[in-house]
Amino acid sequence: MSFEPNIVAFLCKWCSSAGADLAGVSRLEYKPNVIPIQVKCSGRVNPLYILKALKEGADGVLVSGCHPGDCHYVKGNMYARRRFAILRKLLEYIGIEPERFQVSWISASEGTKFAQVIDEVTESIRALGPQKKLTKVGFDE
Amino acid sequence: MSDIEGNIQAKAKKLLKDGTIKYFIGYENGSDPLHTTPCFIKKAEDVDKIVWNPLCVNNLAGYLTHDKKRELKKGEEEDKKPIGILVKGCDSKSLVQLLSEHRIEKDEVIIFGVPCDGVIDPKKLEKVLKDKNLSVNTIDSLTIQHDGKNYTVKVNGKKYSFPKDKIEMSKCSDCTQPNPIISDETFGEKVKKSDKKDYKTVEEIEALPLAKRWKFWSDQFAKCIRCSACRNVCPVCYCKECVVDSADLVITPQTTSSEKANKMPWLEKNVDPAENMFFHLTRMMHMAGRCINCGECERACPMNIPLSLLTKKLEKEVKEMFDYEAGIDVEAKPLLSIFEEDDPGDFIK
Repeated sequence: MSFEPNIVAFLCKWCSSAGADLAGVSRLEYKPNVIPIQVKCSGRVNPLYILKALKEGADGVLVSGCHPGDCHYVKGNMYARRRFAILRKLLEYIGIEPERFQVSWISASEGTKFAQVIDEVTESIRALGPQKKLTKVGFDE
Repeated sequence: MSDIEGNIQAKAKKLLKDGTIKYFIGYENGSDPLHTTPCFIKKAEDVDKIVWNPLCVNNLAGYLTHDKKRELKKGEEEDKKPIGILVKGCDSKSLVQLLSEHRIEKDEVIIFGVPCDGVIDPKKLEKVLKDKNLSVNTIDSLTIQHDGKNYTVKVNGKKYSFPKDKIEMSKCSDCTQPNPIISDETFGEKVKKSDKKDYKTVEEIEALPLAKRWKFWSDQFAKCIRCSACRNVCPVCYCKECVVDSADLVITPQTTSSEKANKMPWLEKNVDPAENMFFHLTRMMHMAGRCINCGECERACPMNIPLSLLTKKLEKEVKEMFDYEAGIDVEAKPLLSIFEEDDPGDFIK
């Protein structure tokens, strides 16, 4: 059986979740590998969430929020951007493929972009294969 | 006894005698001649214990927050007098960081600053002395003198000379802050050191291919015994309750939902490479823009994990991406609570 990646997506309530809804009601087709988790804001995503998701066996993590300047809480996504920039550099430094953790800005009107991003992320993580570096020994398949 | 040491003792004695400070945090001789240990001087007659020499390695700034975390005993009144503390250049950065985060206020501390020309790594010193057939047990007296490029170590009356880079702490070779940033009184002459940080060790690892980097770090973190020494010794890790201790929560029928949410077991207690990795990455995320690279975590690590390679990387990235340096300015806002419109965002789709 071919490898199907498990991807956890943290979507902000105001833009990206609405974008996902739009993709749904527009009957756009996209890969089913993503498990969406709605959060209030991308600025609410603690780097712990991303590390924990990877530790519990996610092959990749996607965080998506409003475009800069469009945040419902004015600047939550700007704080998030700083944090994620550091986390990505750290992950890369210790030898984890940076594609495992991706960030995207998707607005409520960008249903097609949502479908496209999900497809892209899924394919790039499928190409990397299963993520076993941060998962617990003994839980590997 | 050097002049500096005498002056520090005299000043501490004066402040303790007239009751200006509640106690003084400095260094005293350790249990073996290669180490000094932090000491807390509460009485004026004990000031003779205080020493100052190149073996004074510890960063004492962290102790300032310990006092605040301690819960008062029943009927005990809080002593609001300031604490006297001895800081080197690098320690003063920690102190500035604590001041900027309002963990301590300026009027709660009286700072004794000492310009520092580098401190000695006791592990390295022990090794070079071993090569000369001197084990720690046979050393009765040891004095160290510093002359430019060399250290002259006088052991049991015999003199040995060692080059600086052989026995100095690795953090000292590219120290940009040998003089205390803030101090109420400075002891000794100002020192000139390097102007630029040297990130060669970090760049060497960055240049490795991904798989090799992973091999290097996974081997290092597999060694970790999760004793938490790196966290406990860190001067800016001051939280009363640490996120990695959340594994202690036992869920019973009485556990409230808010407890479950706030004490989420992010980390399991078992020592497993994945959990260790999680621990260190979490710690690094919490250090971003706050770590001043004092090297205490690496020094305290019983498994010799090169943690300074991580903290240096963090410092480098924070400087490159956000042009930010921790522990320089008391008025500075924390790195992760501010942002710029043009922060790097190339990685975002």
